[in-house]
Amino acid sequence: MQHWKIRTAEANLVEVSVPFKMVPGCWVRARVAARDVEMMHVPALDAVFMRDLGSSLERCFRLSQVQCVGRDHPALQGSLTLWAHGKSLQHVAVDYMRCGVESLLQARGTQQSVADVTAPMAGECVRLYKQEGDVVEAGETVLVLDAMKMENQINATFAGKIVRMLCAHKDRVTCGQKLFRLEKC
Amino acid sequence: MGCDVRINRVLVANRGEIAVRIVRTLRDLGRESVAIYADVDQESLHRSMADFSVRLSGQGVAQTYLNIEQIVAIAQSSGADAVHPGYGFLAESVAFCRAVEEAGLVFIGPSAVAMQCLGDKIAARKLMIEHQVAVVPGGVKPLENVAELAACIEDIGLPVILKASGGGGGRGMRVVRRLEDMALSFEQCQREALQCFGNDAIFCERYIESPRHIEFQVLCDVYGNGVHLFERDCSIQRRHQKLFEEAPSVYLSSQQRNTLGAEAVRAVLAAGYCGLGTVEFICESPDQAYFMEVNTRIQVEHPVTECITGIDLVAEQIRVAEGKALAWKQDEIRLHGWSMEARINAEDPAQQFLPTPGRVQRWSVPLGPHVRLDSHVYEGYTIPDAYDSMIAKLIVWGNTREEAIARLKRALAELKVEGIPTTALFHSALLNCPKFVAGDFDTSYMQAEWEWAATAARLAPHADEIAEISLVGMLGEMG
Repeated sequence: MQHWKIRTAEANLVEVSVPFKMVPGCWVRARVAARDVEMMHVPALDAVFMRDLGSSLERCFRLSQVQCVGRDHPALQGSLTLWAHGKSLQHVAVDYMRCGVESLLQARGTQQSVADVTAPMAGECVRLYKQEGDVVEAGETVLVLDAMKMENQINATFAGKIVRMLCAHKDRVTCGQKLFRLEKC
Repeated sequence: MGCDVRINRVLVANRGEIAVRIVRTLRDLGRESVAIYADVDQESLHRSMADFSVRLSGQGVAQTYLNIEQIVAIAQSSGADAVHPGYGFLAESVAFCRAVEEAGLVFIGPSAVAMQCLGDKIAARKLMIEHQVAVVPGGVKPLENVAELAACIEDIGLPVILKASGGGGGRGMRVVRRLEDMALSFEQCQREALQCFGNDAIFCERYIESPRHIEFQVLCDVYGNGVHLFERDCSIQRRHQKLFEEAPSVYLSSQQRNTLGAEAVRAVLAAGYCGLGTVEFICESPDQAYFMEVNTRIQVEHPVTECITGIDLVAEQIRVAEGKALAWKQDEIRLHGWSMEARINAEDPAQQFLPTPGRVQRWSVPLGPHVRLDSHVYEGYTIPDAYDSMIAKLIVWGNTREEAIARLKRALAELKVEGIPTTALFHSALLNCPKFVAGDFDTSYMQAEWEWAATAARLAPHADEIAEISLVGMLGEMG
């Protein structure tokens, strides 16, 4: 049985890190909290389809930031963002994933003690609110990235200590670049 | 069709551009959609556009998109409360319509009874005659033998066309031009009718050479109200397959439009019709239009009507299926401007419109004022060889016909498709043809003017300007 880790959950955005490879066009069995599901990645559509085990009803999730490993084997691995298009599907995404998010957020406390927070988009680090050694609350803003004339707050994903700051003021960062390392205290 | 039901989730029993188009309106209306897809359509756009999707098991069209039992079962298990059939596939299947109704779901279309009544050509002819709608001169009952055909020919004169009562889609028809061919044609037509449509009833009517194909969009509610949404001219055809449509038609005067439109509404109301439909006429002259048949579904070319009326026809289908009354009276519907649709098919106009399935390597679509593209294609999509060759519909609107022509030329020039030949080049050539620009064409136009189109297609590798200049020169020579 393979497991998912759900890193953050906002109102209409669910980030999922998939610690296994998804071969395009194949159903892969996964477990989201207490829920057995199957997932299929269709690269041509930039989408992941998900269904409960034993059900034929599939939900479509649009995909961004697909990280492909290997040139000749375009399997999907690592971090990806799933979201559904249109209002109805935004709710769908949240409804569908809620049980997983909640239980995993609780579980994270025991499972995850160190994590690198990465840049969700390319941009410039315009403000650092915290520095190495600071203790932060879950959801507290650590720094601000400016991308396309918009400021984006980068928050701590859980309560802990910033053990390493991996970017500096005025640094240009690429999408996915590590920004700081957080350790649970 | 029930009264005052709210449709929340619709199973779209189709694929390709029409499935995508229906899902879009459902989302606009805040209703959920369920797509179905065969294995070959795993990467098809409609699957990812819908809120839900369900795989069809089985191979080939018969086991998948034509599989009534499977589709109805999916509709029920997916929690859909209605089924939209689109066009083609099961859209005009009485058995499908009935199966959906019996499953307790709403069929977004006419009742099975009305569909059956209009689907049988002989029954429809009889009904139209009873309601003073002009039909092509000919018989009103099935021909039993050659002697009856001979009597009919004596009555109406040669040439005549034999048609299968259960036929459609340009099949099951045979033209008789000489008396000595009569017996053979009769046998062949009857045999073909039985093979193709499981019904050997055939009838005979006068064959009209080179008519104009004009159809009226109609819409009726459950309360017996009906309106028409003006006509579409679909005379640009190749082997009975439409390639280009426009609305309105240059052929009709405003008075003829009103008369024929009212006749179209009378025709469908006679059959107790409810929903969206199209009444086809063939016109010998603007004053001599004959009822041909009713298409009991949404049509491929419906966007041109949407453009000149501002009405979303799929949304109206859903409204009417929910038992709501029509939102307007006839005189409240305005015809505004001119609209044209070019069907972009995966076919090579330079090679007798040979189908060209394959991978679309580049897909860059036209945009700008009053341009619409209905399609299920994306860059990198592989067009399967199992289905229809139509991959997109390029639709434009203009204040006048001239403006629409100029805009469609511009949009066609912006469209860039690489990897497969398409009919786009044919349309560019068509829009430059003086006869077309003058509105002087009928259903034989493609056959008569074929040579220039083939030549135009051969110019494909050259720059647009060069092709256009040569073409204009060539057309000038042809007169």
